[in-house]
Amino acid sequence: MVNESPETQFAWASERHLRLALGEAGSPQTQDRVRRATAALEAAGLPGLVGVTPAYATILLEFDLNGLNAERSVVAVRRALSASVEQRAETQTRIVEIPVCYEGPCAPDAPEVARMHGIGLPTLARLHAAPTYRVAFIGFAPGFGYLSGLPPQIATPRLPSPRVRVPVGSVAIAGEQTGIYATPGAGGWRLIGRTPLVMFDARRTPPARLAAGDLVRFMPISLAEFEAQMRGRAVDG
Amino acid sequence: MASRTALRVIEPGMCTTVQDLGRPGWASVGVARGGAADALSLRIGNRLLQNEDRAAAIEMTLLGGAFACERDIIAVLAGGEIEARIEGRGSTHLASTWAPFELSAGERLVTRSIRGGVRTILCVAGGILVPPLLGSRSTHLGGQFGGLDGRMLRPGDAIEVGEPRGRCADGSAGARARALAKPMLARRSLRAVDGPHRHCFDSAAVKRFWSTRFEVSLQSDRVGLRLNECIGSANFGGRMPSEGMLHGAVQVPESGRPIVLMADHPTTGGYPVVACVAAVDLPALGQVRPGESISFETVTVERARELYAERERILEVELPTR
Repeated sequence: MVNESPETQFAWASERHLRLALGEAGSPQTQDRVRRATAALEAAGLPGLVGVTPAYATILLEFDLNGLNAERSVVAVRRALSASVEQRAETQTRIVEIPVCYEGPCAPDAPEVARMHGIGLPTLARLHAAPTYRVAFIGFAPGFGYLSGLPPQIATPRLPSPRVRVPVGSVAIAGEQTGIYATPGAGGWRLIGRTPLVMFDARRTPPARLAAGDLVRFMPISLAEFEAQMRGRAVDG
Repeated sequence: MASRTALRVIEPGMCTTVQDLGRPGWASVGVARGGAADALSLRIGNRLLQNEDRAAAIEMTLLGGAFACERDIIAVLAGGEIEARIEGRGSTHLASTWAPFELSAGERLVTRSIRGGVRTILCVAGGILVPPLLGSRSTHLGGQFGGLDGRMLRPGDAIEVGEPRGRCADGSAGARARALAKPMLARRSLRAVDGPHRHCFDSAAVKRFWSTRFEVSLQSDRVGLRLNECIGSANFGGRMPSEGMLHGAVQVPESGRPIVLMADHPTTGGYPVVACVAAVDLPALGQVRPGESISFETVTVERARELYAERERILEVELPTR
């Protein structure tokens, strides 16, 4: 039996969930391994595998308890993972451009974030829009992408207590992560901008605009441009 | 296929949504499986009506709704015991939970409070028809999609129902369903296995977890059950990197008060998981009322698998799939 790497740890997280730990959460190599392993596991069509939840350094696999043979499932997963090592050729990386308004009502937490770092609002927007981010994984809520690559000088802790309702499309910071709220709901990340793009739509294929591994660039737009795009969206239905 | 409005919502109740067995396989785009909080009752209700297990139904929480019937249907109330009556033009009669009944055009089904348990599922022969999204008719309240426009039912909503597949089960099947389901749903000592981050808690916290009778907070919903007692927090030394979560995971945030994740849980989370409720007891978990007490009983993963297989075997004997 060929193991993917000595670092991959297998443990049953429940009687139906196998948890794979693939390395250090902070490392880009680990994130890359998680992505390749996820793709391999999804492509392998393992019997009884009903759910794959990738994150920074782990993959949680859900199996159907009907007919589950735990040992055989672990063997099948190991085999699929070793295949993912051989299949090194990374598919072409997508670059996704996201228009973001960093102004006024789109950025309710920007003044405080800027103050905390002793910078002006335009600098905060410039710093946030400067890097090319990498989508580590989609998780938490539908279409929510965890983006790696936030400049450390604007890393900011979460709000002391979460907002009850975050406007959909809000671009937010929490610690050294940034992300875009793709569906409305509660959230504790700090809102520093907003995109007019629809980030998740269950009627579309694929439903989420972002996918793990994508590169993301934020393109600053004015409030007038944001409002024009939102109006256009309403007309499109 | 004939499908017209069969039911019109007069009063929806407190949190009433269309649910089926959920949408597995979409966790990598951030969508949890969701579906009926008590999937066992949904499956039994559907079997009593010769529906497929996964047919969609109406899930009511704490307080039931009132529905005007616009086309003759056969239905059953499954899950938590609910006060229900069928109001006709001249007569009114009671409908018992787990007993299929006919509802004729012009009659009303009026349901009130749910007593034994917290959720009652109204299954209809032929299943509730709404457009499937990502392979399921379930309502995803957080994502505002699925079910009826991604939301709870409202007064005036028209509910469409599919074609029944065959004759509905006889009276004895309802009695068998009740005898089978009631003890399973009444369990408040929930079997659970050690969670993936059990080693991050000190032994006193773990001991407290397994020995405490927890009171369920009023702030509980389809996303999670919040428990009021504190077991102490994990020793993580900073934040845990987010990782995959599951229905039944018992997360322990900094407050030390556990949260048991329910069907609409976030797909990933950053709080350590001390234990996971076994699949066999997830239906009971879906029937726990805010204010009730629950505790956890430790089982091995092997035992948890056996318990599930045993339950499936009994279900197949008592109420076989057609």
